[in-house]
Amino acid sequence: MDNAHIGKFRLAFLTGLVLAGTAACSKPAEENGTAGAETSAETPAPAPAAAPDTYAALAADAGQVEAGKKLFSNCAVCHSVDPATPSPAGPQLIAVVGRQIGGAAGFPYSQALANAGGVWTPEKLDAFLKDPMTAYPGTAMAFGGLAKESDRKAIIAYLASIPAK
Amino acid sequence: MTSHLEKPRLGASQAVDRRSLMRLGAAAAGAVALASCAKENPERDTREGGGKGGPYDVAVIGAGYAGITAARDLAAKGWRVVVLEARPRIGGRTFTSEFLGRKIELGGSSVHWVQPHVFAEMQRYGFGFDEVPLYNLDASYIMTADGKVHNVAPAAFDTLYSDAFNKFCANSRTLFPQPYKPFANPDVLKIDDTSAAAHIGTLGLDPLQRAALNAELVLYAGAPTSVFSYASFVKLFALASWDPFTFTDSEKHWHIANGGTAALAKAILDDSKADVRLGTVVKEVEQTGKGVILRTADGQTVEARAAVFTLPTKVYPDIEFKPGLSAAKRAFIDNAEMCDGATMYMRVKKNIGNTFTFCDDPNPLNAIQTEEFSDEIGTILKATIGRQSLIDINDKDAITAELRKIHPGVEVTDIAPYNWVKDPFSKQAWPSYKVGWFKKYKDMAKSEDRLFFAGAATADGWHAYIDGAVESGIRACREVTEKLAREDATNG
Repeated sequence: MDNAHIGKFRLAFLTGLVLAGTAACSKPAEENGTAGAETSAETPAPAPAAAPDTYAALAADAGQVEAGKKLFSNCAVCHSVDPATPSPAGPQLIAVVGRQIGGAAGFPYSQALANAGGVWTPEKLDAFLKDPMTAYPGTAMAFGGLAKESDRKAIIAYLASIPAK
Repeated sequence: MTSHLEKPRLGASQAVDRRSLMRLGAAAAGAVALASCAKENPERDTREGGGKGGPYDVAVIGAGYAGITAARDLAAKGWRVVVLEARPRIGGRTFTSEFLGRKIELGGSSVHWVQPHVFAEMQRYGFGFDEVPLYNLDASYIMTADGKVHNVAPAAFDTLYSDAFNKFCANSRTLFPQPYKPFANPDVLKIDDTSAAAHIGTLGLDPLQRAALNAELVLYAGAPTSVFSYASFVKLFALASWDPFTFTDSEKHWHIANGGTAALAKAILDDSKADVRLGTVVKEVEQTGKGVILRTADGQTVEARAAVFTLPTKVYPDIEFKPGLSAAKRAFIDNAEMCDGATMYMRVKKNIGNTFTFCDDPNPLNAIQTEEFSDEIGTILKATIGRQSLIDINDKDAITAELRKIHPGVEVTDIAPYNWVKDPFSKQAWPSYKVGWFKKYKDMAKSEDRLFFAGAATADGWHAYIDGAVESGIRACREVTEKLAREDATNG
């Protein structure tokens, strides 16, 4: 819709989220930092338990990344990892590893994720992808979960390999 | 009512029409920037009802086809409307997504000119039809319940299936002389306890016929056919002019062109100019003497004179109604529906041609239909699953194993599933009535003081289709308008 119409209600229902300004039209470049980078201004939480080199190791495993890329068609039904392509339903997942949970600008998260706190570590993503409703009861993610650990690992490696552009 | 009609909206609506059409043109040309902030889903914008804001006459809960139709029609009557949608997108149980660069429909998808309400919306906003390759098959298969696959030549497949299907629906003219008045023949009420499986058992079919027909009916049931209302399915057949070719053509052959169900939904909602709040989960509804107070999960309070609920039946228990809903409605909510369905697309590396397969329950991929095939892309298949709990639809290996029973050795490279049962805002797939509950669908449709109810399951006609959702939204607008206009007349 028209720019002028966006602000008011979005802000109203985003109250309580830790978001910088009227984030609705922020560019992808303004998203949280690249995988392994320092937490940005939008992620005030302290550094995650998982060390940055964990992400780097995941992202550097070309075989895992390639396998994850193929499996990601499962997720791409709702999520985009391309700044030029809108997500069909969920938040975009560019540089999601290390991003604040519930931190994609402008996305109307469930209370479960909006109030979760912390950042997405590989461990937290693994638990979420295994069984979303158990990891964050009340999440709106319409996904039954990935039962196989190898599938989850590959997808997290793929996600870790996608830098903020 | 008169007090609201003094604000003519025709000019504004026409402007929106033109704008929507221009957007469609842009979309067709490949420009995805439908919204000003194209980074995220273009269907996700909020708007402010032409700057009116609250207080509202009507709150519409759910931005599926029932909700957006109701919102558009209510706004056209001059009522101030807000739409509250739990998901981050509009469209409800339709969902246009992308798979390998193509538009795909993961929810309600097929439309037809014998479905009058959705066809009228397509005409209104200038949407055409996309054809799905369903005829001129290269190969067709039937998997019987034991998992054995039978390669049946397309001509023979057509003959045996049509014969079985015609026998199943043989009484449709007698039972449903007026399909939109489904109980015009009171015999329908008497046979509502007859299951589809029980009726199949009376038809004297051979094993392949039985398997193909049962696979089709499992899809509609989203459950074993032993619990699926036989009469409710025959009503759908009657709606297709009691004609088997027309019925199959209406259910599997045509999608919405020009951006699919999402683009049509957006055109309808844009036309409403209603306030729209996405990601807004209604948790509590309180009726007072003068209106309705809605409270949401994120702490919003929305007040209106009336509310239209358009939710999938199984979602209602997640909302607290004060006072509670009627006993009849609660019984329907608890018992009437059961659809365990899901949809998925997949790409197979090999070009297996234009194929169609029926897999009988308890094999999970009940219908598998070629959507696209070439030596370059291989084959894009769409599977419709009646009972997703029989298979892990996110497990590519499990899907591959199923498909290899039909096409030995094929390599599935990509899958794109959507599990409507795991979606917390549907909890079920398409509407289907359990034996004995079709006859009570009007209990769900009935208004309760200031609360009005729509959604495909409440439709008189195509209850398992987009068309039924649109039909129900039109009815809800009429009911709300009568109520509020009467109230305004009384209050002078």
